[in-house]
Amino acid sequence: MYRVSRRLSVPVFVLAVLVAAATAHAHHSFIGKYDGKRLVSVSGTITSLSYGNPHVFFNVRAAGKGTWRIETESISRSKSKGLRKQDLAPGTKVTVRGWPAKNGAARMGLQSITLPGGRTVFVRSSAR
Amino acid sequence: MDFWKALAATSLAGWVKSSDWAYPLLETAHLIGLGLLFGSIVMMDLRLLGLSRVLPIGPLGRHLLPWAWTGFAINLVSGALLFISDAPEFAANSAFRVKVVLIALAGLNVLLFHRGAYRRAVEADPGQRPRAASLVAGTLSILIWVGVIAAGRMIAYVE
Repeated sequence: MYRVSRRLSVPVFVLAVLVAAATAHAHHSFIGKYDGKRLVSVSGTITSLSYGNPHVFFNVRAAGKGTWRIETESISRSKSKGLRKQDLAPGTKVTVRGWPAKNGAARMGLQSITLPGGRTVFVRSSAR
Repeated sequence: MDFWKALAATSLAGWVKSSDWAYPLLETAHLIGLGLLFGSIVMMDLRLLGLSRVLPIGPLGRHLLPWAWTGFAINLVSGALLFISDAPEFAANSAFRVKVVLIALAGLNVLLFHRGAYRRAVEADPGQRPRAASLVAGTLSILIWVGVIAAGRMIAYVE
């Protein structure tokens, strides 16, 4: 019994460290994809919306900056922050601020959004 | 691939994605299934590795393995529903691909072990030291299933 337990303890310990290292790295998937140290701002028109779980996505086409893919929260969180489906309908002119993709693609994790009429919704305070 | 796109375009996939509660409820089911599957498998593996040798392997397996299969079934269904909601994305995700390969390896490990070695382990008297095949199968099983869980969790963090 003792011999087996000791033989087991090494791989179990190594595994525990690996799992801890993999999960401690990030609390939320945003930090894996987006650069939490930089903020960018894009103004343009929403061209498409996927109001779905686990995260809501929409595209914003900006003059001279191309089309950006914006990722934000789940349906229920988006609603509770005040971002309903009709607020993000295609054709809506918005300004989005967020953390750009680490790989340089035109994508961002949404920090805040200003809607027509000037209403600004802060969705999250950090990419972590 | 077009097949994944077509799958994600079905009304069932649309419901999983656009319903407020389908996705979190399916995730809950997936965690319950995981608890049953991983818990019962690891308990079996630890016995195969020689812990708690007073417990006879046969009756222990008859108690634990149906629960492992129950957990597997829950996760196959809940996982398939979560998958179709964004099929092209999941299919292309590197962590998801690793997860699928690891599940296949876990299945292969079970298949090979149950071709004889498991019966011999069952027939061994309680208290006996584990045979090499049991040690290998038990260790591989734990390693692979930890890998499945880690890869599954990493789906949200990699592309």
